[in-house]
Amino acid sequence: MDLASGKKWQAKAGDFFIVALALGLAFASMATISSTKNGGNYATAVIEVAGREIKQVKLEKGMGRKKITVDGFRGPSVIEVEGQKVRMLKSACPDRLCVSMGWIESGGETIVCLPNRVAIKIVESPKGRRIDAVTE
Amino acid sequence: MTSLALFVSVGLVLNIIENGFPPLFPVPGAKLGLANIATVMALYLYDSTMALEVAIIRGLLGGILRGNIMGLILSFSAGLVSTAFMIGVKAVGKKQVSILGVSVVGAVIHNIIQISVAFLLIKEAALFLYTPYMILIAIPTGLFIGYASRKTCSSLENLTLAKG
Repeated sequence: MDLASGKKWQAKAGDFFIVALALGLAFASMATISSTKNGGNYATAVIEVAGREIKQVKLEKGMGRKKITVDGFRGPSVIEVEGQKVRMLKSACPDRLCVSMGWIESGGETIVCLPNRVAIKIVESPKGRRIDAVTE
Repeated sequence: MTSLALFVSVGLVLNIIENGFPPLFPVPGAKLGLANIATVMALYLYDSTMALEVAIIRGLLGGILRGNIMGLILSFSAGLVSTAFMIGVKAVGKKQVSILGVSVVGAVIHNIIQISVAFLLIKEAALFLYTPYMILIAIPTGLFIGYASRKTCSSLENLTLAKG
């Protein structure tokens, strides 16, 4: 209707600048978060012998292959960790059920070798998702 | 004084209307912020003092009406700081920035302050994980609020012009 007042309210160059700046801020904060990644949801493999915790291994993407040898009741068990997965590679038990379990990778999964009394458990980090309530 | 009361009540009513909506965004705490139309309008139809007064009174009353101390602290502080920023941007960029840009600044600052204050209150660094999403959401909501305020303001202006 009113041309003069129409012009007064028109979008200006600075508006685009502000939107671009806000987008930049959003992506910058996203980049900062993914680079620090302290709130990430990595898991830990807990290795136990006869119910006693022997070792903890962080399971993170991009971590190379790693072999860990622990002594069980019947002899050594070789555990292999690769990135976020873990498996029993060799075991001094008679039936090798633990070896045939293959890789495990999600929280709560376990490999248990009864004869050798060796257990591998995957525990999700408690830091992963700590928000349980938000008010507006 | 009358206009101040009018803006505050417009803000409160918009707040009530908005609370009737289902949440629009998947991120908790993210919302349109319809009530900020009142602040933006006060800033453009009147002046910075009016905008600040509206932000303070609306923040306090809105928080008390909702009966949530945490919400009161969050929205009051964020509302105050974002209004201050809107006043600043409007003053600095008189020629370059329109009501849309000012409103986006208000929305983005509102969300950033809200997250920061929430962090100070509950000391949980994981809250900052929300920052990028809150800023991304603030851009369209800020534009929408700016657009709605612009429509309302220009209509009101035409109205007074017609009367005068």
